[in-house]
Amino acid sequence: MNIRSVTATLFLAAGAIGTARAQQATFSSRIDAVRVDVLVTDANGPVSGLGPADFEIRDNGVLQQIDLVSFEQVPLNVVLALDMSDSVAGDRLDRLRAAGAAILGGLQSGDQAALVTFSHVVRLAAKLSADIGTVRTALARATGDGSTSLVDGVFMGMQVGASDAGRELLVVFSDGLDTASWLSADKVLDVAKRSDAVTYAISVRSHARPEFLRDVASFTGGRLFEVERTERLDSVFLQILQEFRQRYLISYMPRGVAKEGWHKLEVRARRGGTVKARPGYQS
Amino acid sequence: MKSLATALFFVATTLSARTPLDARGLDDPGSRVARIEWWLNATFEHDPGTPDTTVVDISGWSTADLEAFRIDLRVFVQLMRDPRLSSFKTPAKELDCIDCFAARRDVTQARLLVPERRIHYTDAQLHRLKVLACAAAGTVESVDCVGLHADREIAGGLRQLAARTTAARRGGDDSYVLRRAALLHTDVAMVTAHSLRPVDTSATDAEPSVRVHMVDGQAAGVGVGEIHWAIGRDLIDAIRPRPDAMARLWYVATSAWMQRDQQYDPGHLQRARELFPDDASIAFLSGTHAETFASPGIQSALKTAVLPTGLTLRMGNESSELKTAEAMLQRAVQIDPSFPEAHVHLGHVLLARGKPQAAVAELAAVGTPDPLLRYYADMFLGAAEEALSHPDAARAAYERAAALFPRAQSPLLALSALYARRSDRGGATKAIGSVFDLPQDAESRDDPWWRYTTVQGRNAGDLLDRLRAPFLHAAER
Repeated sequence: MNIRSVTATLFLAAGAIGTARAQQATFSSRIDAVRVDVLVTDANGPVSGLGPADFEIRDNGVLQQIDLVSFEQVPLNVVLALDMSDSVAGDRLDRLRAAGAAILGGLQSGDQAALVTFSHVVRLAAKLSADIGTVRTALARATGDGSTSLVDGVFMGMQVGASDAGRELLVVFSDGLDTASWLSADKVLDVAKRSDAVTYAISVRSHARPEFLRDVASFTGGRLFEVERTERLDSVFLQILQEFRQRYLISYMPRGVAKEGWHKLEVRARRGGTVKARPGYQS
Repeated sequence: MKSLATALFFVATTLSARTPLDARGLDDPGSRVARIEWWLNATFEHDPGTPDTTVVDISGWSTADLEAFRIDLRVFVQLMRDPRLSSFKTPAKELDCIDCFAARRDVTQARLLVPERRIHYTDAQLHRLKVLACAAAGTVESVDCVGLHADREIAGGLRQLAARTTAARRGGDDSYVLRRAALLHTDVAMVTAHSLRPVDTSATDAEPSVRVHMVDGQAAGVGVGEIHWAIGRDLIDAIRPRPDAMARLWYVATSAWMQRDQQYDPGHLQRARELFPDDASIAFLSGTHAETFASPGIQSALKTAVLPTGLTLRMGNESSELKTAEAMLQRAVQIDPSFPEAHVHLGHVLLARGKPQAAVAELAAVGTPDPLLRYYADMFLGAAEEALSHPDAARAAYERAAALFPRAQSPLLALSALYARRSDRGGATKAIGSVFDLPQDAESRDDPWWRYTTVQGRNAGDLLDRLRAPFLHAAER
């Protein structure tokens, strides 16, 4: 879910940024903060250097006071949720491993990573850890076999970092349709509305539309990449990481809105530019 | 039969050139009559369920062989009933059947129109067919067959066959050969389930068996499959009088086998329902068939299969298949209210059709100690209670399922999602932690959800054993 206890949020903010303003110390542990991951782009690409005054955010139409905007400095929790079903084998598996290795190679000190694989079996192949080598080893050992539990795998990916206060990027790769999940797409999309994880999905183009991946990316403020081939999968993975690092993490205390239910979010950059953020959150 | 099918598939592939007779078309009736004679002997020699040379040889027949054979077989069966017949033709009909095949590969057939055809034999060929028919029917001593001098014109194995069929007829069964032959072609159909030949849509004079192979929800190939199931149905259809207990068991056992091995053939069950409209097992298997067709793994065929021009999949969308499934499963529980597995599947279908209240009522009626069925019932009950906004009842149901199969991931995922949707992060984390702790290798996991679409066929082996038992050579001696 989007709302975390401020205690947890501040713990992260103090440790990772070190530039938190004094006013944040007035937060009470009884008050919940909302975090919104935002990408601002203009004709030249991502826009950097923006502060709280440069954003306008409305929660169910009510203008909110932004307390914190962080950029780049927040360590990432990158969770890879990779399709390891029958259809991913041979060269495609090699390319997927290489793409995963590429994104792991792009992580910085303080970042953490985890690996979830899914066929019909969902596995936490490597738990969330700053020891990236462990994740890399697990990735190298992953093999393809079985049918596809895409929805289950995405849910598991969301949960891997749910109890960690870090900023989560969920990278999902699948080349097929879901054929084996227990969980329904609707339920996991409902969970996605409550999750802080931003989902970037990569789908190999086929006759079937990747509707679930498109929806989960949209609900979390991420993006879906549809690729024709997997030869350059590594560059797509790296592009995702680079884009994610260009995002702002906005935090505010919701005021003047009901606590429960769906909150429609509208985020605007006062200086202009295209803003990409989650469309809302469920509390 | 699983191991037989696997082993024989390989043998049949490597020995496909060893057909007992030259592959010749309808312009060579002499060869075709000889093939019927060879087949009749082979039918008698074959031990049902055994990977013998008969199965290997027949599995190597070409498509043209099989098409011609099926026509001759229809004539032959008519002659078994009335050796005085002298004019034959195949009726025009629209064909529509769907097959599927195993190891997560599913096969779907399309429909084509087959025109009427007249069948020609020389007098000598027709005479020989009649003599063979007399032996097969156990009627060599009948007036018509005596007039044909049938008794004098058969020897060796055929004479033994005639003695056996005559004894069976005296015992009240004049369909002995038809039964054995159906079992033979059943074995060949199982062995050749994986074969696929290029589609020739111009060949409208033959019955096609167009199939779509699927791997992991994606169409992996389109081709023509074997028609041994259709031949088996022809033979079972010819058994008299109706209804026949073996015919019923044949349909139940083979349908269960098909669903267990993911080879779906709506035409198979359609014929079964026509013959046995009040049979709970056939209604049940028809329901589970439609339920499976509504599943994502099969529905994806609609999205990913690229069929040759003129062919369409004979498969409804998810909604229509679920509607069919509900009707069939309702019929099954109406015929047999104490059919727990039918209640389980009906509960699942009702849930999928957006009727959680009805699903709860149905699943509550599942009174069985079978842990497998209880697992499914609890999982579906949990989902139905969730849909009714009864989280505590849902949690209890999922927890019961988790207790039944501790190495299953689905109940734990369901619990975690249930907590997560209630914004209970602690509960969600604890439940997902249990998934993290499950064994990494698939072999050590045990989640019945993974085999839900095939579980109704889990007794196929026992059913086939029962079906074959009276015809095993050891039993007949």
